[in-house]
Amino acid sequence: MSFRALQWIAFLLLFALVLTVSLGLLPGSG
Amino acid sequence: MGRRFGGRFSPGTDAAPAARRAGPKPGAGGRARLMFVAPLPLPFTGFAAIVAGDVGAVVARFSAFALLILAAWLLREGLRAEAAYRARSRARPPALPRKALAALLTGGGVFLAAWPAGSGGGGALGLVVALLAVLLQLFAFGLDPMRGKGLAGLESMSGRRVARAVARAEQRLDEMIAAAAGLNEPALERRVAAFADSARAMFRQIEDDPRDLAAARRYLSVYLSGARDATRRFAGLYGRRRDPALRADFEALLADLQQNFEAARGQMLLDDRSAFDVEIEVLRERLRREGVKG
Repeated sequence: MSFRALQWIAFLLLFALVLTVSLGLLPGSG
Repeated sequence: MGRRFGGRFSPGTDAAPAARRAGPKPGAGGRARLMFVAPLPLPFTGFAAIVAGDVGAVVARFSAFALLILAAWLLREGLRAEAAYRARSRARPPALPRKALAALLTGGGVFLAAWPAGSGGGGALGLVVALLAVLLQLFAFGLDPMRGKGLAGLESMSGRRVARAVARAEQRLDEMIAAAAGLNEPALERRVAAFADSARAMFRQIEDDPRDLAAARRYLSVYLSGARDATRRFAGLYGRRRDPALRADFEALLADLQQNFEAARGQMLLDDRSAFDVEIEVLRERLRREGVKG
């Protein structure tokens, strides 16, 4: 797996993380 | 005094294409744009918190939104700066490490967004998630370029040489402007001022990258001296007799000079030395002819 592919995965994780937190889906928030 | 509007990206300036080439690298730009999208639910959950009457959550949501949008914007700017850095063969690092700062802001934004409703503190989960966000962003987008490239060992010596050369060139430019000002012709003064702007843009570029001085030295000395002398001669002749043909000649010379300075500046960005030398020949020929005529 190339470095760029890893960077893409990191980006997708980050995007999902920010979106999850923004939607208030963490337990106790929102 | 009124001046015609015109900037770096105005039509008719040669700098625009070079600037356009320095856009963000494909892929990262799109991802940076998505970072503007991810925090979009926050204002809505913020309104929900208003309806619920949870003051802490309202503040947390809207601050988180602001931080995350600011982070996305900084990230985009950082990627642009990095692209500009890559486009040049010699460059200083960006003064502000925008991408690193953006990652920190994302972390702060995520921490605030994860603020639990109806309680006083962020809690361990928020901290962990925020740290994770910082690390993920740093990995996904990388760090800013931190070191100058192609400048090693040149910095101090050539910096001083550039400062001297630019100071002399500025003086020639000032003398040229003063000569034109003596004529009391606002249109001509504007024309000369426009040329001076181009020349100064070149000075700034040389200061940014002292290694451009070698290629630009003739522009700073020979051609600026030539332009100054031509302006003085023109001012002398035109002051005695307002000859439109003479004026047209002078304006054409100024336009030529300015065009050449702009072109030279663009080529410095691209380090295209061969095309550069051809331009120099054309310009020298032109000045020689003007010198004989004037």
